Amino acid sequence: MPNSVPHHILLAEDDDDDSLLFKEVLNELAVPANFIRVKDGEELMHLLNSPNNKLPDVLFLDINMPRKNGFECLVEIKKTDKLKNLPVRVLSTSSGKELVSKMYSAGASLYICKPNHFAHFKEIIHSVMSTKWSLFFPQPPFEKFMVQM
Amino acid sequence: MKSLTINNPRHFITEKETSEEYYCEIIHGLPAAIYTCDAEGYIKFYNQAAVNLWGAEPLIGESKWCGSWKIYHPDGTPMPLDECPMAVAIKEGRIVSNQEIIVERPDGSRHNIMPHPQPLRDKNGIITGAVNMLLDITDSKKAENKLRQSENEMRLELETEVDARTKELNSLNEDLKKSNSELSQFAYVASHDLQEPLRKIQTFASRIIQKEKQNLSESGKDYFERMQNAANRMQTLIDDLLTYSRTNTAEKIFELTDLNLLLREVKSELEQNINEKKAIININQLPELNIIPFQFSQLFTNLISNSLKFSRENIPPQIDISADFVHGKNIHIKESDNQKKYCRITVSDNGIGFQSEFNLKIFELFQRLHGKSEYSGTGIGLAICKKIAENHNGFITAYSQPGKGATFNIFIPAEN
Repeated sequence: MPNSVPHHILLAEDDDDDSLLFKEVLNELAVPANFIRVKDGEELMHLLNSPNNKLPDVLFLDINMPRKNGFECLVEIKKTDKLKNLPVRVLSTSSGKELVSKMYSAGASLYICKPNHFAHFKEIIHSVMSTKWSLFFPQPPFEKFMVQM
Repeated sequence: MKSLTINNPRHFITEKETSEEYYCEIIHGLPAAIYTCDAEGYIKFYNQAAVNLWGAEPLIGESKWCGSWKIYHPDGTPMPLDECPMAVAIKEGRIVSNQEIIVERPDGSRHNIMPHPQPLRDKNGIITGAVNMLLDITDSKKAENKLRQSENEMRLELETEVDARTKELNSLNEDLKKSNSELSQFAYVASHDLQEPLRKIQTFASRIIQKEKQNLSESGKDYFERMQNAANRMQTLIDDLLTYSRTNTAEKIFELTDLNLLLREVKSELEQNINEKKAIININQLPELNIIPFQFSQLFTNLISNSLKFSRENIPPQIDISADFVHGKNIHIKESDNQKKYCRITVSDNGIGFQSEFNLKIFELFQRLHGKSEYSGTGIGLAICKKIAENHNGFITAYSQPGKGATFNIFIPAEN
């Protein structure tokens, strides 16, 4: 892993299975990370907005969450001065063209389609972690926005 | 009364017949109301029918113009007696016709009357008075009114009925639209939401194989592989269903598109498959068409993939794609419009083909002509092609014979 590895990872995901898989991927990749998970959009925004909270290096954001969905969170984050530079990587089951464009316009920095195989998931996270995203700040070109296997 | 003399040359006139008394008798006996006035308008002569019509006897030497008590215009506004049609006929020396009046009798009853006043002149042309025949048209007027009323009622009833039917049809139409859109929404949501649990099954299965393979018996591994295959088939099915329902629900944005460029992209996406099969694809010069580009790519992808899949063993697939323009009246298919010109895009191959009896059935959702182990597939691909052709106000047809390849024709209305 290059030096640019984020060490403070926040995952907003309501699904326990997906959280488990995400954690196992991090374990198997041996990413030295401080990993925190929140279970819905409200909890996420509450955590991000609390005054003494240290911001994560990267946020992995599920779209389909209860109470406040990923899209609403993304819009709020990009509207808040303190949060707007936080890289947001969207996680979704859907690869629908309209949804992808919508998340790109709202300012997400990556769109990851949840793969059907653990090995693929591992590959994706590995490549995401090793890419120098600072080169693409604040957003990569649209062709590189969606990652799918 | 000279003017009333009836001169019939064929009639032998006796002395009695020429007498005034005789004519008076005849006129008195007539059922039509008849009376005369002199040049100043005084009533001179009248018959019994006139008395009946007026409801009173006029006073000779006093009653003028009209023997009625009161008269009115047809709209009910009063008409002065000295302006009645008879007065006009005498004063202006002309026949007055078609001027209906309403006569009110002293007992208050009213009648619709059509007067026929005609001036009388002496041999020098000087007006000596006028004769008037009054026809009571009350009954025919009533009948006419009744007819008009019932006609109006009937029209109103008919209009009400038509309105009600139209409303009913509109509401049925709305219901149909709603249930159609709900159905396609349902298909979309169902297939979309089915993806998630399926993805979990596949992911955890891949996890077990990866971590626990050594703990499984040979038959355990076999079962596991079968389970994974089934899950993968289900994924293909869901993906295809999603594509199908998106074809219905997605926004339809038409763009003038060069089909040659579009097909070049489709070919490069299928490159691996084309190379594996050693397929030859001949593309003739294609026109520019106003189409939904994304959907047309899908259409060509499905048709070419089909041709690659259903190729004959040991014979490299050859796919020919061409286009021409045809008149609707030369197409002879019930969907074609005789007033329109169509662009016909033809995709034909040298594959296994199919029996001609299936040339409509293959476009139905989930229709398959082969077992899963022979040829994989969900039976959705051609249903998508049909939907796409319909989204372009066109249609698609298929012709084939077993072993002789298949030909698909897509007809899209051409502007000018």
